[in-house]
Amino acid sequence: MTNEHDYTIELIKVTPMNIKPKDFESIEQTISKIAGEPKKGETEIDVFKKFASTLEHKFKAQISTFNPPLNGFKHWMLYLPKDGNFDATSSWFSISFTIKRNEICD
Amino acid sequence: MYNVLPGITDPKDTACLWRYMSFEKFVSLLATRSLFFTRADKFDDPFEGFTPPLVKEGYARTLRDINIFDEFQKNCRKYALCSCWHQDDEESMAMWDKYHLHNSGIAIKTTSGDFKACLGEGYDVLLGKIEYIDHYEYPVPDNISELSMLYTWYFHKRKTFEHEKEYRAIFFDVPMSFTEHFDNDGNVINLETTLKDYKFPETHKIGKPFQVDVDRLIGEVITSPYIKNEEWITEAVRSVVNQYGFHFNVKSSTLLDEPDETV
Repeated sequence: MTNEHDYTIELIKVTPMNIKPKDFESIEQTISKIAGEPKKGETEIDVFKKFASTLEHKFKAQISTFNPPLNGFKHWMLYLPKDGNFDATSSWFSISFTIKRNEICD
Repeated sequence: MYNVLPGITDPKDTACLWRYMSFEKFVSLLATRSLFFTRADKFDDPFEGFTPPLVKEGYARTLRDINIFDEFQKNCRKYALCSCWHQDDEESMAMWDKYHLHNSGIAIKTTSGDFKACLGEGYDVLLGKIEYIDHYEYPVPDNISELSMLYTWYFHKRKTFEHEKEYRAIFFDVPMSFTEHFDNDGNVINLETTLKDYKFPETHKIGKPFQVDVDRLIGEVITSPYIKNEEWITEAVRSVVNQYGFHFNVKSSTLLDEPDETV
């Protein structure tokens, strides 16, 4: 028995850094698709970890990074390299989003 | 986007900021339209990011082991990426010398307001003025949270660096895997376990470039005072600026000009 709940990821913005518009279009589509898939987890941070891991795997990123929050996890920023790691090129992108627990309707 | 930590001074938007750099770095800024943020552990000051001892002792009740916390902070310095500026109304001879910019140096002049405005939307930075302190006598501040404890010391340096009059932007770029050690409220959990098991992976070798609005960032460019009577160097810099499609003012420093006896 787990304490998992349903969550929704709401994308705020995906921002390219040194990425051609044509390449970025497909990146954005991939992220939207993964964000839109049903999410389950015990907590928001649990959902964040799963979301980030899925993106790392999808974009073959050796590492992804985020900004630790100052006042709780209300607004997330995740950063991924375009080409495996951040030192490979100066191309990377950021994803800003919120994680909301779905209300149960009786 | 930017934030200012509680207790950190955010200068007025009209405050002048200077960045002294080599010509090569200046060209890179124009070509990539990016500002390079450097890892704090790559700076010369070994105290970068470290909590003053009295503050640590004040927190030892919750963090239990000061040595563990030291090791944790030391490792976290690789995730604090910094862009450092000199805040002063006037150009500084000391800064030209500090960076050994005798022949091909460049100084960029901007304002605190334009610096904030040039930052892109795709990343969050903390910014503010460095406070110069007596590291060994600095008392425990009021109402400081555990996470602020990690961040805030990057905005404090020892008084011996006071001449730098530093203004700094910091991007905290923590590996996603580090979330294993945060609870749902953003507090670090199991610090001892974190250090025992966590490898603190390298996210960047030296730092990371951030796209900025260069037109907004650069108010004026000044060439080194050491190239007096070599106006062609200033002209060459002006030409490079124009070739990259920018039109900000480029002028020669007058710091080492002969005194004007007619005034």
